[in-house]
Amino acid sequence: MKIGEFNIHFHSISAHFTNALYPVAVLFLILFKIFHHDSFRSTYYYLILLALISTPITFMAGLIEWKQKYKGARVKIFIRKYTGGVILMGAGSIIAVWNYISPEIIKESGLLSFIFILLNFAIILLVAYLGYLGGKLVFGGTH
Amino acid sequence: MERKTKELIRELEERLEALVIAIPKEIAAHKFYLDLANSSQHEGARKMFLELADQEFGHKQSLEKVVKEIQNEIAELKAGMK
Repeated sequence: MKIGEFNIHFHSISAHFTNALYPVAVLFLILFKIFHHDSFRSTYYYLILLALISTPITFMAGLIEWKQKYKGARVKIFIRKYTGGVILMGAGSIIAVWNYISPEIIKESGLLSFIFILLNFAIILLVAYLGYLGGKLVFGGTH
Repeated sequence: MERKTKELIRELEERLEALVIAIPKEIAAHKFYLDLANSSQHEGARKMFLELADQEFGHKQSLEKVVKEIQNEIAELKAGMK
C-alpha cells in the first residue's frame, strides 16, 4: 500500500496480528480444557473477538495490495487467498457467536462441543494455509 | 479433446500465476537500482546501476508481454470449449 513516498506492506503487517491471535486463542482453549480455569476461557473469548476484528482489516489490506501491486490479476493464488479469507471470517464469526450464545459449549464434552473444538483447530489450519500462500507470494515457490 | 484442453488451460494458468507474482519483484528490483543510481556519487557506479535498472525494467516488460499472450491463449481455448 503506497502512502505518499512510502510503500507500506500493510497486509503483511496486519496478517501477523491475525495469524498470531487465532493460534494463541486456541492455546488458551486447550489450557482451559486441561486446567478448567475460567480466566483461560475468558482470555480465549477475548482473543477470538480481537482476531475477529483484525481479520476484515487484513482482508481489506490484502484486497488493496492485490489491486495495486498485482493489478487485480485473477489467478488461482489470489482466488484461494480471497476464499480462505472469507471462510476465516465466517468460521471466526460462528465460534464467537456460538461462544456468546452458549458459553458452556467449551465446558461440555458432547458432539456439539467436539464440533466447536474441531472448528477452532480447522481455523488454525486455515490460518497456516493462508500464511503459506502469503509466503509463496513473497518468497516464491512452484507448489 | 476437451480434457486435453482443460489440462492445457490449467498449465497455462500456472504459468500465468508465476509471471503475475514475478512482475512486482522486477518492479521492486528496478526501483532498487534506480535508488542506488540516484544515491551514487561515483559516475561509473551510477551508470552501472542505471544499466541494471534498465535491465530490470526490460524484464518487467517482457513478462507483461508474455502475460498478455498467455491470457489471450487461455481466452481462445476457453472460447473454443463453448
